[in-house]
Amino acid sequence: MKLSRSPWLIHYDCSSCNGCDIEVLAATMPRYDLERFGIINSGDPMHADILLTTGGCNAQNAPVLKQIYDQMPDPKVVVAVGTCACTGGIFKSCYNIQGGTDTVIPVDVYVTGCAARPQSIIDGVVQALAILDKKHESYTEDPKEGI
Amino acid sequence: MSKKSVVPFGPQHPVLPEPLHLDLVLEDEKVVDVIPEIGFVHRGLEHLVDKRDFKDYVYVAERICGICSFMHGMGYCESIEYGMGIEIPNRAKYLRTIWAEMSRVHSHLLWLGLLADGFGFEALFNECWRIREDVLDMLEASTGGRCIFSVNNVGGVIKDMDSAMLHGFVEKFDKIERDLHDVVDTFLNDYTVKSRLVGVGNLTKQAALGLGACGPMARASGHALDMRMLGYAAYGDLDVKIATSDGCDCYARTEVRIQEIFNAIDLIRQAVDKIPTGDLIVPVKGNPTGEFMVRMEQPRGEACYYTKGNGTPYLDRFRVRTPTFANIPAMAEIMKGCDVADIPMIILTIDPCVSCTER
Amino acid sequence: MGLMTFAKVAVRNLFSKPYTTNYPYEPAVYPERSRGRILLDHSKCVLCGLCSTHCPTDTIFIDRKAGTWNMNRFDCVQCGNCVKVCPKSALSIVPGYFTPNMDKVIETNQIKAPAAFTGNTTEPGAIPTGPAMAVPVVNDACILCGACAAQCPAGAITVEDGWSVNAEACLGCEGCISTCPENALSMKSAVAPGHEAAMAASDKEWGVQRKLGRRPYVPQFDKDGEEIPVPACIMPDYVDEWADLPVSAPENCVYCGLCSKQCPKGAIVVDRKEKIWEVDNAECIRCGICVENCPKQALTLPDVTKDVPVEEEEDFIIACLEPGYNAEFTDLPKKGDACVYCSLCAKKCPAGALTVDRKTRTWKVDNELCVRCGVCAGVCPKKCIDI
Repeated sequence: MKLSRSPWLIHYDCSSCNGCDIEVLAATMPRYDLERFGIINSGDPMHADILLTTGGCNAQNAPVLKQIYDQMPDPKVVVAVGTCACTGGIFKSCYNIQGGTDTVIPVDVYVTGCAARPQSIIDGVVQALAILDKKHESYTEDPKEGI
Repeated sequence: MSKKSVVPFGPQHPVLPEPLHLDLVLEDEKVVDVIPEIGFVHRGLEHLVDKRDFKDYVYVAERICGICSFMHGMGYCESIEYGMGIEIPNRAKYLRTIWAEMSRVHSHLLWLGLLADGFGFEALFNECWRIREDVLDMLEASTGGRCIFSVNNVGGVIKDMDSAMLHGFVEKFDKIERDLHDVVDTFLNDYTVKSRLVGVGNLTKQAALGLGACGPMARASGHALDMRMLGYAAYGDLDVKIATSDGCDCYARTEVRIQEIFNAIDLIRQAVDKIPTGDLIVPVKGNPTGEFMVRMEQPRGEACYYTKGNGTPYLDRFRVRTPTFANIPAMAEIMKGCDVADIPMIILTIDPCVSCTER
Repeated sequence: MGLMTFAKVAVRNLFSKPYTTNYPYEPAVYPERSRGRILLDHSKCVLCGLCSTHCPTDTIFIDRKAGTWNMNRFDCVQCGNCVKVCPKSALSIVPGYFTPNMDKVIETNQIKAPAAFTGNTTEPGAIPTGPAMAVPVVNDACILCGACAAQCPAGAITVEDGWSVNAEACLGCEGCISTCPENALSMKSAVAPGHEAAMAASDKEWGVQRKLGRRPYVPQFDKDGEEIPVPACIMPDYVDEWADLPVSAPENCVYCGLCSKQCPKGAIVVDRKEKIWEVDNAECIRCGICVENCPKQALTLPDVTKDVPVEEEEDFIIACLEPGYNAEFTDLPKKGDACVYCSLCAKKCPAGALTVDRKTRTWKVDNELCVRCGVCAGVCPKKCIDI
């Protein structure tokens, strides 16, 4: 049974300008429908397989991001959507931004763009699903080994 | 005497697109007090004026917020142009007005969708955003980006819309208006929607003025406050209608924003009829010196842009006072005494844009 | 009180065409002005560093010492500021974002040989320092108007009691050349003392290499450890070393002066009385018209092209295989006015698409055979082919 047939999504905005967030929501809208791949935007970390983050990390939302990541059950993948989530973007020399999402949690796929188009987000999610399958296989072979 | 409990709300929540933390003090199902905690989206981008030339800073300014992006870039450019005494070409003013009104239409449609999602009416959410995609197509065809446009520069604009493109857009807006009538009918006349919106979040006329509410919050309480009457860009030549209502509740604010969409489409038609030919941009010589401030009507209310220059290419200070910042005290006030189930409605009714507020 | 007011819309949507774009199964269609990613034209870049200074994200950085233009693809915000400020129009912005990836990609483009150039490495966002590839020099037409100094982005030109340029600050962007109303400025290659020879060699090498899209020339050594000299025919100044001047065999020459009359450049001087026959090295373009028209066959043009070693196919990359190359954007090669119909391009064309006839002065390129590789432009001794 492939996990990637119906993964559930959770989206968290770390310190984004909202451009990438509305593009993530637009990706679930009728025009670029992510729901035809079986993906639902659930709001609950404990039900989710894919974490989409947008925006750079600062000292205030780093613990929140870590907590959401820890609450998600294994196997899970993280997709950093947008230039700010990849490297900090245009704000990386600001005093309050530490960098992209990978300063706090391990990232599997980087999607670039300012704001990242829904088509790029679909590409990134499809790549993440392949990684999720691999993790799931190695997880079910020996659950004690972990990921 | 029932016990009070404190329930934390956010920063991650299915109904919230942005991180915002509220500590809700509840007595049974009624909210007694609200203690907000902000700062999750603070990036400190105002400090970047030290590192970026004032002509390059416009790209940072337009990324303050992805929904009101065009107005931020426009506000920044206008404050520098006003301070340095640069007169931009008329065609650039009209183009900025057209893009600003298109930005307003897409922002209000986005808000209508999120409101519908807030009370669980997902089909209406999808329908509003489907109509919004047509507006985004037009914006992408003319500027190159769906959210961040990068067409404003100090001195004018850098892309043009020729008359064929403009008339094509007017036809598409006619179609959007027709599609919108059904959606609007649902928002204003449906029994289930009205039961969620009517009587919720009452903000009296005096309270609105006393708490400093601006934008649709104030206009839905009977005040006709609209910064477009100041006549910046091309608004001085166009007939701007202000939408007001006396309902003072969430339903009235929905009415006001819906009316604003139709007014914005009308303004675009007027601007397309009157747009002159001419240059798009004038070269900028020298550096800004002194303090200047302009005010603008963003989709969410009144925004003030303050810049201070010191004669070098790097500004001393750039400060934005965004409308959401002015509306948050009003939100905290109207939340007291409401039910838990009404909280998403009240948060969404001010049209919060936390990234604008916390730059 | 309305009940089921949304029913009309729902039923209409049920029976109309799906609104969804079938994205991964059908290619995405972007509008023409859509801003996706930045493309660099290697042949136009002069490593001036203006794109790097004006990038709001600090994602572009140039390394003058290594001769590279680098960009972190996952850091670009597609604002288009670099495209606007580039003085050589070497950058363009095209639709289609960079593909999502598991690692962040930093792209390096080799613009110039990492040779004896003493410019220093640039931090992202900092103004590059050190000598640029070339600095402007002024001639007598200068009227000291100061227009060049006003537009200089580095403030390197001073026009006060005379014209001077600060070579250390100059970016080599060549903006002053086009601003001068009297055409008094030209660029001179700026080489640090002691490095002229190496610089000249690397310039030549890179001038052609970059037009041909080849990777850098690596010096070859024979079995005794001696370096094999660079083949002459790939040098852009090929005419200097390519062929010796036409030589006259004095025993055949009758000093008729026909070669002098036919010479398109007037490079031959013939004096029948004094029995002088001379050819001017600078003017002679080695076209060979004099050789063909000499009634006594007294002239020859030594041809060294037949001794050039042929590089193996996998050793060089031609332009059409470079990433970012798009054949739809590249036009057919066009011949400029300086053409002398020497037919070297036709000899070197790998597709045999060129036809050059010296007698009738015709130059033709076949649209179907041409692969837009750019070899003709690289080998042309007069550099008059535009690709």
